[in-house]
Formats: sequence, structure tokens, C-alpha cells
Amino acid sequence: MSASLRRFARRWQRTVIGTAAVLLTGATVDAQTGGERFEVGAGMRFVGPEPLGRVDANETNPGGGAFRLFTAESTLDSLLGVEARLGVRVSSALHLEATGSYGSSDLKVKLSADAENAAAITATERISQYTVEGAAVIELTRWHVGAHGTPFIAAGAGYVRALHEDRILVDEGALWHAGGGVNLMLRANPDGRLGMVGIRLDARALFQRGVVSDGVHASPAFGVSAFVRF
Amino acid sequence: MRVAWAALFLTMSLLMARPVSAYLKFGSSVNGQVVTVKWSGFPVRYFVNDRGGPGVGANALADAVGRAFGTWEAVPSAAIRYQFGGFTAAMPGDDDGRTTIGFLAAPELERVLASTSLLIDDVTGELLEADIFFNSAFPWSTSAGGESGRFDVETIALHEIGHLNGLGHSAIGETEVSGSGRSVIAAEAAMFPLAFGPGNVLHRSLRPDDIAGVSDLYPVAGFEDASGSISGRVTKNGTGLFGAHVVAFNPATGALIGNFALTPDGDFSIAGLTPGPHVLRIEPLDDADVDSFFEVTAPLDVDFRVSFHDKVVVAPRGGDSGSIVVRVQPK
Repeated sequence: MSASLRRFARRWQRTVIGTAAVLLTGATVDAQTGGERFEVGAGMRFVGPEPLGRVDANETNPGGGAFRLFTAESTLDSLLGVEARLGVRVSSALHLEATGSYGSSDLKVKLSADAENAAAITATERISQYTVEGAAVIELTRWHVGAHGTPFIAAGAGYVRALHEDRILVDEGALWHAGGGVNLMLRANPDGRLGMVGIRLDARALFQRGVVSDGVHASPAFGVSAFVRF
Repeated sequence: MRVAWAALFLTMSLLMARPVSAYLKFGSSVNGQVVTVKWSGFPVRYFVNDRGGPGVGANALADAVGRAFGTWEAVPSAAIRYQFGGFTAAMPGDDDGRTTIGFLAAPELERVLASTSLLIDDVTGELLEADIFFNSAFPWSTSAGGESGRFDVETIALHEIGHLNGLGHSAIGETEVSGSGRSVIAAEAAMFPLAFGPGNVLHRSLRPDDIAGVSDLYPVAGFEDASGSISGRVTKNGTGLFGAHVVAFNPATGALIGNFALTPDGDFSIAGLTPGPHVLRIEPLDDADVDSFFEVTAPLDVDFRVSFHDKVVVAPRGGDSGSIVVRVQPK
């Protein structure tokens, strides 16, 4: 590893640990876990904008080509939501999780290039999304982020239900994700019964199908959550 | 009581006024109520005049017309069916209770390629007879790939059969001033009132606006539950606007389907939509021959700008968007 890469790695570790210190106060503990089998967590999730594509409103000209009446470019805007999850450890490194989430975002359709000079605008609609998903999480216990963090990789799939504005139409679809993050163990046995308290930071590539569009669309997603293991 | 209601639809004229976007169902006034004009029983039986026309024999005419009927029948969401009853010596336009298709010489109708006349029961709105004539003053062809300098029978028949079904003119298309009239620069509906020109066969197929129209008139079981509609009002300065075009565009499918604001309050409704988000485009009938689309019952306001509605509007599955208000600005 080059010197500059090592400096970057150290800076990144400090950043992660610094973020954890802002989110939770209290003593931190070693990343090594005990015999806790279950995990309950809750937090926030941010999903980046999901481009749905550009479609021209076309008519047919006498030569058989397209005459563009206007252009529509659709985007499912970024979503900020909440999530809750329940996990169970099935081996020293493997966890299985079930997660439910709720969030809302705007469907934005940018309308432009009108053949009769209609002013360009962006039409919008509010969409609420609910998800239920399952995931496999593998903690990379041989690696550590600082003294208290354990990196992990995760992949999962689930069901997504989207309610259009005024709840007059429901879209049902599927989602898949893959990514990773770090579990930061912050406090052991805080009230004498619970095993561990920590926070999770994660990033994933999210793929959805069936929300507004039948196509598969990708967007980045990031989460931060607190969890308790017992 | 049966009353002949001759509806001469000036279809496929090359010189008509600029059209707009919509599918439109015919209505007939019965005891002060407007009822939808449609066939009540299937199959709709039709006959073909046994004389043929210029350059087109009776068999070739029957074949071309049969293909056009088949195109309408192939719409999976529409239940209408047709049956060829055979050749007849009767002429289109005879009020004989038989739907007859053939050629007539009408050189005085110098812009009219073909026309459909309807016989309607004025109590029920039921269609009793629909005759189609092709104007033999024009050159015609039934060639598979079209024929230079000749109008395509199948293309024009597809449009006229739309009228036979009970559909009015759609106008998803654009024209430009050409000499003393207008010419088509684009169209996206078989029910567009202007033809592309001789030799062109691009409109032998139906477009989403046509399909929505015939499916709305003759829905198969389950279609109404599987499709949605958008309705509302077009207003300018807070008052209803009569005659505006409202076109629903589905960004997921690219389909353009529309209708007009047909009341003095500016009310409109667009049915037969694929459930999902749509954007609405509103445009004035500023240089159209309005009578070719609908009966003008109130002053037509064309003094507003082409515009988009600022909200995405959802057509719910099996239901209606609920009344939305679309505001337009004066020019």
C-alpha cells in the first residue's frame, strides 16, 4: 500500500468514527461481539434519484419518421425514509435480516421542446413507498475499521409498494440491492440485559422494478441506523 | 320511431383546417339527453357494392375493406365484431337498413375522399345502418404496398370504419398552411381527418387514441376495471373554457390519447387510459374547422397558450382521477 493510500485509509477511518461519535455518545467497545443472536435496529434511509428515462411524444410524419410533439424526461426524485429491521445471527459471520421501510418522494416529469412552443415545465406528483425485504449480511470479522467497527457486505431482495398521490393507484414491484458498510459497536450491556448497542452505516446499489415504470432502474442508497443486539 | 340522421363526415380532405388531438364519440340528443351512438348487437353485418370503382374491382374492394374491418376487430380490448354479408347492387346512402360500402361519384366534393352516413334510432341512440362511400372522383388503389398517385382504399376504409363504429374525428396530428388550405405534417391516429396523400399506406394500423376510443365504446369484459380515466375542467381566468383540447400523454408507454372540453364549463374526460401517471397538454382549436370535430354549442375560446398541466395526473385502475382543474393563460 502506498503512503498516500495509507493516509487516505486512516483519514477515512477517522471520518467514520467521528460520524459515530456525533450520532451516539457513550463508551465504545471493541468490535468483537459476544453471544448475542438477535438484532433490532431502526434508522433513516436516503435513496438517490432514480432516472426513469426520456420519452418523446411522437407522431408519424408522411415519410414514416417521427415528428416530436414534445419531450418528457421522468425521474423519481430522491427519497428520505425510515426503516426498521430484525436480524438473526445464523453463524459467527452470517446474519439474516428482515427490513421494513417507508418514505416518500416526487415523481418529476420534465416537459420540454414543444413543437408549438408550450413553455417547458416540470410536472410533479407525490409518491409514498413501502418496502419489505430480506437480506443476508456477512460481517467481515477478520477486518476492522478502527477498534470498534466491523465491515460487512450485504445483498437482498424484496417487495415494494408505491402509493400515488391521493392514494388512487398502487404500484407493486420488486427491489434488489447489494452493498456494504460498517457496524460500529458503541456500548456493551448498557442496562444489564442487552448485549450490544451500535450504529450501522451502509451504502448499496438499489435496483427497483414496477414503481412508476416496468423497467429496472438503479439508484444509490445510504442508511444510518442504531441497533441493539441481544 | 326511426329518423334518418345523415352525418356527412368530411373525412380525409387534404385541404381541411388544422386538426387537434382527441378521440371523440358520436352523441345523439334523445329527449334532451345526449346518448352515445353505437351498435347494440354484433356482428355488424356489412355489404359491398358489386360495381367496384375506378381501378378497383368489387372483389378487391371487399378484400381491402375486409382487412380494415379486421384491423378494428383485432383490438384486444374491444368487443365489436363484423361480418361480410356479401355483394349488393344497393348503393351506399340508400336508407335500406343495410350497411353498404361502395364507390360513388361526387366530383362536387372536391376535398372529400370518402364519407360515412349513419342511421340512428333516435330513441335509443342505437346505430341501425352505416354506409360508406369512396369518392370515385379520386384515383384509388388496393395494392399491397400502395400505389403512387392513388389513394389507398384500406387506409381510408380504416378511418371510415371508425366512424361506422361511432367514433368522431381525432386529431393527434399537425398541419401547416399550404396554398389555400392545409397539409399534414404529422398524424398519430387513424381517425385524424386529413390523409397523408396518395400512395401512402402508413395509416393502415390503429394508434393508441383509436384503440382507446373503440375500447371505450365496445369494451371487452374487464376492460373498464383494467383501464382508467382522467377528467376535470379547463379554465381561463377562473371560468370554464369550451373547446380546448386536452391530451393525456403516458410517459411510460409514449401513448397520446385525448379529448375536448365539451361543455361551457370546460369539462373534459379521457377514458380508456392505461393506469398510471400521465401528463396533460392543452391546446386551442385556433385554426381548425371546429364543425368537423363537434357541434359548437358555446362560444369557442381560442385565445390561450398551448401549455402543460403542472401536476402529473394519475389514471387509477378501474376509476377516475377525480376532477382536476387545468388552468391556461391568455395569449
